[in-house]
Amino acid sequence: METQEPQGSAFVLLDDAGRILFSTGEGIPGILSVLDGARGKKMDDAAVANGTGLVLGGFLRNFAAQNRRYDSTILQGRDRDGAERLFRARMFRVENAGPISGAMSLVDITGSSKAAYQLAMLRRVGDLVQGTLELNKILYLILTCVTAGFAIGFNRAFLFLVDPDSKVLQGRMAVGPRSLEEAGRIWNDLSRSAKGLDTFLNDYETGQAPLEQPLKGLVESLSSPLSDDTEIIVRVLQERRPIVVRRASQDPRITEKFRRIYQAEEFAAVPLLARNEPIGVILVDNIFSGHPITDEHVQLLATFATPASLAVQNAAAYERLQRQMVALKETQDRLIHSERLATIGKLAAHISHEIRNPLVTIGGFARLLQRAPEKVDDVKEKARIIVEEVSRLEEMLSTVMDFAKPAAPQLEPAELNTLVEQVARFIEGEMKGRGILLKRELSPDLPLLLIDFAQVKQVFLNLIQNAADATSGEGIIQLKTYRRGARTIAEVTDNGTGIASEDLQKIFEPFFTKRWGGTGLGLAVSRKIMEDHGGRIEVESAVGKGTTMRLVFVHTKAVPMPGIANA
Amino acid sequence: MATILVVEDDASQRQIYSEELAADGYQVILAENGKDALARIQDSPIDLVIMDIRMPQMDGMETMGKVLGRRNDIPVILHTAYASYKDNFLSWAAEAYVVKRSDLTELKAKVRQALDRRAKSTISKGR
Repeated sequence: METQEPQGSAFVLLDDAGRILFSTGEGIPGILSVLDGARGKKMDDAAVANGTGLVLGGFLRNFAAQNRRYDSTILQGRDRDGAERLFRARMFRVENAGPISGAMSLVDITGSSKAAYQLAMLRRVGDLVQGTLELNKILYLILTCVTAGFAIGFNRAFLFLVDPDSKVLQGRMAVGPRSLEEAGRIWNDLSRSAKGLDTFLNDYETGQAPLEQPLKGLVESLSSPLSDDTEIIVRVLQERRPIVVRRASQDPRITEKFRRIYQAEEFAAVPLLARNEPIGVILVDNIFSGHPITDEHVQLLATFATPASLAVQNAAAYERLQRQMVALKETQDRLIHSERLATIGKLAAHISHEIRNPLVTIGGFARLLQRAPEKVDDVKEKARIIVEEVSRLEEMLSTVMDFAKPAAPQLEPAELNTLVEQVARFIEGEMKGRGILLKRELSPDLPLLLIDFAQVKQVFLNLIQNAADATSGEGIIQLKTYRRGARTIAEVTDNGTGIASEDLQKIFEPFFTKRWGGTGLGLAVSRKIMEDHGGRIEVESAVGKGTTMRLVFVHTKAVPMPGIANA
Repeated sequence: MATILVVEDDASQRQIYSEELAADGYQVILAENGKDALARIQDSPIDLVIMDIRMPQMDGMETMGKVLGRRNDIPVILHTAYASYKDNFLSWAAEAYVVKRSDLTELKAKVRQALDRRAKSTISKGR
């Protein structure tokens, strides 16, 4: 760093009207000669700013207006070569010293500040590599570092990024004034406020930074396909090292189009390389101040470009990921939507089929009754069938409604074996009638479960009915309860036809049924109920051998047995 | 008098069709599944088949295929609650496709048409 640079200083005495009575100093020739030349004159903006850019007026007026004894500030100016310098200005009130009413010291702190500033800037960008993933924020910060203040201090900076999809070096962002006039105003503001990097970052976050930058159109129109190596910015990317152009109007490397749009006569282009991968270009110029672009500045910019590139690459990757995520989310939403439509379509088709059969029967019998109402026994029998069919319709409707709006389970401690016994006793008669043998193998060592007894009973009953429908001839259904670790399991195994492997995934879907008259809702509702219980329903099946359906209850802590808690 | 075989697994519906068709003067034979239907084809003089599609074991499409394989002169009318089977090209082998309704007017009209056509073609063949 440049902390070894000698510190220039000046000392000025002023009268009560702000006129320069005396000045002395060393190490800052431009400023000193202006001060000397202004002796006897008011130390106002015009006198001192002349040729130095050092603007003291505001500081002095403030000092006088606030009637302070001491004040200090940092001021920006230029030496005789036009290089930017930074001064610490201190102002003291002097009393009882004749015409002398104030004393001011100016210390050139350019070297130490610049080093500190550069260090801060590089650190800051380094932090960004880990910190920010917002690409636009990083780009803005990089360009601000390149243009603002005195560290690199270019008039304008343009940033181009490689778009890997379209293979275009795309102009993304630009910072700088549009005109000389605007430049003067901005620099005036800057020198007054001596804005730091944090201020700029803060401006960006509070929305004060100009996001619709005036140079946006310009940078975008400088975009160029990567294949077009006649363009200087593409060449920089290919050669992977900075190029400085001193006289664009006479430089054969510059195309007519580029010259016409860009207009700067002298400029530098520095590649952004991340892990040796070219990702973009920074273009800088001093089009308004006309200050020469020094090798030192270009070197600094190139050094700065390395961590900046890493930050940009990370952010660009993140941005791409986010874009893909958004696209994925949209696709997913579309899928969910169309799946919902498909389910509604399935529901409508299913209900219309299920309703049609009972309607045919009801209407058919009603017509027969109309034809022969005098045969009393016949009328009774047909009316009975009509009533039966209406009940079937009503039952089906309530199943559909249950599925659409299942009640939340009312959990109470219950014994699984009791539930299995109750269901078995309830259905035993029917099974016997169908020639099916119901076997039981219930473990005596089961914990109490927190379940909705009525709901789980329905589920278990449904499993047994499915099992019965799958068997024919010598049907055997085995009911089993047991414990496996933290899980309690109730199982229904049949020796029936089994389920084809391609159907295994579908049996829990609503309206999937292979059984004539089945609603296709039993297993879908069963699964929903088990999930509401925090459990699940499993199936194992072999075609021609049979099926095992398993209700798995997960209990994280044992429910104490009433009365035998210590057993 | 024409003899109609009704293949229908639902007992109530079998009863309705048999009474309705009998009232119109047809001779009605009932079968409750595909296997049953094939046996009736073998042992009875059938002029027309009304065939339900959705039945356990052998469905109406398969049964129709086997019926037509044995007796391709018998018209088969598919009679079902499912309009969607019409999309199945196998259903085109049927004489007609009628979606079930409690009002049997359409079914009866198709039955009459099919029997008329059959009568004409057997006459022209000199049978």
